Amino acid sequence: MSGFGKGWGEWNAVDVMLVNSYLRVRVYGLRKVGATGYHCVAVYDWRKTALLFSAQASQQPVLDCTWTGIGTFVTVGVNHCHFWSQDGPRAYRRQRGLFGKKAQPQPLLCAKAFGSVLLTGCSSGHLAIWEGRNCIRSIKAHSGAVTALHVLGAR
Amino acid sequence: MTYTARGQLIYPCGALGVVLTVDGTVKTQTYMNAHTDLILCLRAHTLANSQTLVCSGEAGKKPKVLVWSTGGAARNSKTGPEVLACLKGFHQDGVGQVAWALDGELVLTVCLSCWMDRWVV
Repeated sequence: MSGFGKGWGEWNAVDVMLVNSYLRVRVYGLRKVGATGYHCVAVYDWRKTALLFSAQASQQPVLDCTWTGIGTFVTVGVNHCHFWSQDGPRAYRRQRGLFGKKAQPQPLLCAKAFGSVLLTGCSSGHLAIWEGRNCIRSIKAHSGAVTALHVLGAR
Repeated sequence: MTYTARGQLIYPCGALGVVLTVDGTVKTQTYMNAHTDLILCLRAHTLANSQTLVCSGEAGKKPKVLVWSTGGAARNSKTGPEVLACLKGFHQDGVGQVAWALDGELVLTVCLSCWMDRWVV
């Protein structure tokens, strides 16, 4: 038993049960890196009250999330922008957004899809425009942080 | 936070979801009181039949995410908000963000922090 828990941090509880002649051990462990927990995402089919997908999003705070198309969504937050695309009936694949040279890594406060591009509001007052997973442009919009975005008409 | 749909304003007030319907000079409020902790986020989605659905997430260690319809969109309708689904069990900290899929069938939720369950067989 002692070999399982390497790097998992503290173990809180263990329960053991016999399922179909296999011994199933459930370990409740807090997996911690440093002092922060993970921010988790979940996708529900609300009509069936079914949890379709869940995953760790990031260790940084997630400040906004939005669907960008059928089976694709985006989570943005402190110094990150993650693109999730459906990879199976109950699976989504995460890809990091690349700031590149067009924008500084910084807190992204809001996100909205606009056609095939994604707009995010940055704490520096810029609007960053993403295509695919790359930041293709950033525009100075305000002197303060851009905290809310609304797209008219397109959707 | 306020969100509008069909002349209705939807906003959280503590643990209470408030739907404010403005009809000329007549303003009526209806309430959704199924949350048991502070509402942290709230987003609306309008279906093709012009029914407005709201998804809201609450604070706490066992947070609920509720999907509810605002009801009472018609001028003289007396029906209040109605809870359609209660999603709970996965998140173990306050639900800070929710988002509706474009077709309104799926809901994306993000919680503030998370504990991991590990299974070893």
